[in-house]
Amino acid sequence: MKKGQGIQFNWIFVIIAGVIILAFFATFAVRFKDIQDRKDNAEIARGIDNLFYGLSATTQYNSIDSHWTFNFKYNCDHFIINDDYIQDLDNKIIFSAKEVNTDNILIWTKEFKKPFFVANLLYVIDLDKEYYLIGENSLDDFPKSLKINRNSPDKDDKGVFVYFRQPDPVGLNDLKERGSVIWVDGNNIKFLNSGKEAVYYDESTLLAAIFSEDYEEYECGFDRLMNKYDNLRKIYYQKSNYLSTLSNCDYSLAKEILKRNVNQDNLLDFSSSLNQENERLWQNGCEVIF
Amino acid sequence: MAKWLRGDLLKKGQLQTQETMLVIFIFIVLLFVGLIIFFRFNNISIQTEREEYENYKFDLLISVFPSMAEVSCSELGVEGECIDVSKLEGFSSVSSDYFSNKKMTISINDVYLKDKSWNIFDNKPEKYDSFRNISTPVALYYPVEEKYSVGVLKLGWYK
Repeated sequence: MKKGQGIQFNWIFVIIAGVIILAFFATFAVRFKDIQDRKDNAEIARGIDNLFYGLSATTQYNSIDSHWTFNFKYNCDHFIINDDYIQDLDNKIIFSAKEVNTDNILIWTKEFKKPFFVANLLYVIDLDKEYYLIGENSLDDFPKSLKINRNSPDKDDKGVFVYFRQPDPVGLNDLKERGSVIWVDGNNIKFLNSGKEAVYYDESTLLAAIFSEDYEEYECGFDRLMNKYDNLRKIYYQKSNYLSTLSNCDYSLAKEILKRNVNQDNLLDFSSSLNQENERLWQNGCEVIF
Repeated sequence: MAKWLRGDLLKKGQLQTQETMLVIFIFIVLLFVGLIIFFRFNNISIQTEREEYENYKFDLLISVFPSMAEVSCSELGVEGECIDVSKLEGFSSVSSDYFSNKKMTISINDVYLKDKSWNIFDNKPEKYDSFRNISTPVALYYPVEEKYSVGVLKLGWYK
């Protein structure tokens, strides 16, 4: 090997070795960041899941403040943080928009009782989002951190627009592009973005529809609620059987009511008949069903 | 310079280059081994954290279970801090809806009445590495007799 060739070889050798070492550190940095992100996503998901657990036993609200913006995707029986960490929702009944991008999420609960206690409905709310309640309504007990606006939206306003009167068809399409439009029409909720309709029974289910923003997400939580409701109906039916065999009171009407199949349309009638029968049992000095 | 000396130096130079190459090769191999070990360790730690969280949730279940509407006492819609025994049979029949994906057992025994015990859920897998068992005292309510008793709520988890 000549002297010139030796120097050239040295340079090539140094460059190749340098590139390999640099690539190594670059890979290390990228993979390390990836692992840290996964750890952070898991921490956020567990924080939210813990709030769900804590709040499913009480009617309160709590928020989770993150130092950075994260993406929360609601998928009916689980949620995903930053398209990475999947957390099961177990049997919790959650109402949330399909996707929330925020650094500040609020979890609020309301009790669902028809006539027996069924569950605390959990609402996942983006605190950066504005909610417009247009028209006369009785909703007033909101957490202070929520952005509630009772005026008609301006041209550039974005958010969730809830109408308690028929919305003006002029400019409706423009409004749909700026957010979700919901029309509360009697006992029905019309999700105008998807053109689908659903029922609600009380304040807790109305709020569920508002925070779900669209039909699919609302129906998903609602189905889980109805499933739990039906399980509780079966449990109370068994309880009325148990009570009727061991006590002298007449539980035949309670049993007959609890035997009925409950669906979205007859739930309110079912609830009021069962409540009346429960009160009658109590007035007669019998053990109540619930 | 003498020919034999030039040849010697050349051999020495080649040897040094080969030595450097070998050192850098070993250095890079060690770096990669270190990198693999580091990421393995990190992945294991993520897995361990996940398992710890599952353990924590299992522990949490023992405090959440008695307050579930499906088993807790209630009178005229007001929930009480006890387990209504008349609901347990009904809950056993629907419990798979609640814990279907969990390999676990849930049972309640009355401490005083030895014949009173309820197997609420049992999903024992064919194969498992370990079994974790936790229990807690609970208040049991017999609605017909309007009497309270003491029970033990037992949760078992097959891992």
